Amino acid sequence: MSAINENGRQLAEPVVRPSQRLGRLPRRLGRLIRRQPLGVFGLLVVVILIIVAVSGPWIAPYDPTAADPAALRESPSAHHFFGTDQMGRDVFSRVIMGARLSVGISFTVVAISAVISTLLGIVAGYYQRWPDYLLQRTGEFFSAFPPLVFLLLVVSVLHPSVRTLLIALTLPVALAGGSRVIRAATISIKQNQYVEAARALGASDTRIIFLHIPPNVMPLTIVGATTGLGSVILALSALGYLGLGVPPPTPDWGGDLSGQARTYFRSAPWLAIFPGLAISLTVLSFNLLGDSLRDLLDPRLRSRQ
Amino acid sequence: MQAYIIRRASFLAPVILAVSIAVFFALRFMPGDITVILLGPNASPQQVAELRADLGLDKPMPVQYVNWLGHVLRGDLGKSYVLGNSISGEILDRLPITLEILILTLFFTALLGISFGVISAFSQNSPLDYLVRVTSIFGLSLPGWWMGIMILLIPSIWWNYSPPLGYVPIHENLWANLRQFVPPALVLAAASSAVLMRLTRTVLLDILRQDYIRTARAKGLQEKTVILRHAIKNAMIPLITVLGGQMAILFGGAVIIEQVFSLEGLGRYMLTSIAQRDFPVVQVLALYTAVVVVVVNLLVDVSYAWFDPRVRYQ
Repeated sequence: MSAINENGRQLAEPVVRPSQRLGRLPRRLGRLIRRQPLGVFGLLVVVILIIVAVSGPWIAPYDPTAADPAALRESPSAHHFFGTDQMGRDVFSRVIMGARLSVGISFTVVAISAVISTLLGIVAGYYQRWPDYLLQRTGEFFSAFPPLVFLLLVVSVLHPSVRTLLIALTLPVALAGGSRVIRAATISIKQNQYVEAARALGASDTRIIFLHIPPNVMPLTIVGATTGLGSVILALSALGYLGLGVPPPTPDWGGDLSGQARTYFRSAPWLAIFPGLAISLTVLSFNLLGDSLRDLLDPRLRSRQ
Repeated sequence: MQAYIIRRASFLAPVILAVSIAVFFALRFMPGDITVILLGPNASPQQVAELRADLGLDKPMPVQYVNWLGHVLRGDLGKSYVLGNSISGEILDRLPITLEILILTLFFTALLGISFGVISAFSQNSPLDYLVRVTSIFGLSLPGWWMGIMILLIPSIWWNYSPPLGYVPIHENLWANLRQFVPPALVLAAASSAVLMRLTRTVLLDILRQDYIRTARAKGLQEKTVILRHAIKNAMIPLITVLGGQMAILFGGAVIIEQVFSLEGLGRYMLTSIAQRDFPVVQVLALYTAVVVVVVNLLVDVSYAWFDPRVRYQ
């Protein structure tokens, strides 16, 4: 793949023997870092974030929910890197464990909605007519709600819990969000000769929809999903800040900035700074990674270069 | 042109109706009984029954919906369960606040988004371009409400400064009013101007490769004229679409930003009403936002047809 998009420069290189391949890996990595430094930075942070999310309980120095009345709102120190909150809980441990929730929810939401929206987009673009009509009207229905207002309504109707958040965040993305791009791509892809060839060989619609079209819309799905992760975390933290996230005392970046903590921001600014930085850094790295992936994968951008 | 507008407008009513039905019935499945909130847990069953009859909650839900819709269509938005005051009066009181936030935000979005987009496109791949693009990713990534908290927090810790408390109308004291409204508008505009900036850059880069730009330059036009009359004018269509699309997001953003900056606008009204299970208010506000968002989308489509004659004849 990379042989083609480097304007044929790669093709001119001499054939490499397998023993030389290993030596090329650092060089290719070096080139990637030079070309997409921000994307590599984003990837690095995302990898660290996943590691932190998985191994949270072993990294966190304290129990994130254990209140210590003897250490209320202590400023950051060698004992408590990010200080302690209004109940004497260790902010560093809460930020670490908050990664679990944010990463867990956002990956689940994006994985489910990427599959659903890709399938819906392909079906609508492939058949057009009434499935397409249905998808477009659904999209209009969701676009009439400001996203945050929709989340507020769903979460308060269903009771705040992890399950509710999953439903509320997945619905609009799965049914309306990404499928529009996939639909448009499918409409042009299905006119390609290889689809015609598949049909001529007797492939059924189902076979074409599940086997022949997905590989070609995959770049769009991947790019959409990566930036989707960022926006899910933003939405989740906004709900948390409004007090509609996961119920306390579960550590939650947005939730830790809401409620009682707000009255202490002025005297204990670390309560406001660290969870907010965690959200910002996470969303930033997903967006940086998504941007680089778009440069590398998006066929529309690739052909233009 | 007229036929096009009518065709597009005919889609409005079903969407708005669907939104109103969805919100109306969803609210009735919300946990938490309004009679308990109003009367307290110790009310006698008779009191509860009276209140339910009073509020019209004893009738079947579809009947309730039709009654409500009938009143709304006749211009009667009803009364708040909790405060007992007229919803339309409350909306009129709060509308100037939300409206000022949204107008200022749109202004900053257009100003920052388009100008930096132009700068970035005309200095493609230079350090300046890189800087603008990286800044825009920051704008997209940092949560607006957190930036708001920081904007309030930092001056208050360092200089003991805080914006004036309580809403100051624009005609009473312009300076105090702007001190209240510019920070939330800038914070809200951070994300949307980043979106607009990135789009402006992409669209302009595309346009700058077109033949008519080369022609304009070849016939000796000043670079300024090329940019303003030929390049930006043609970039306006997609920009307007995105600016219109941002309206819905800004509406939601206003909810949270009003909370951060303690501004008593429609967003806060929505939040407290949802928390207090004040159905009539939530229904009206949801309907209201849906109408505004859908109408803005329509205006965007119409302006599209206005700018680009090809759209009209499809």
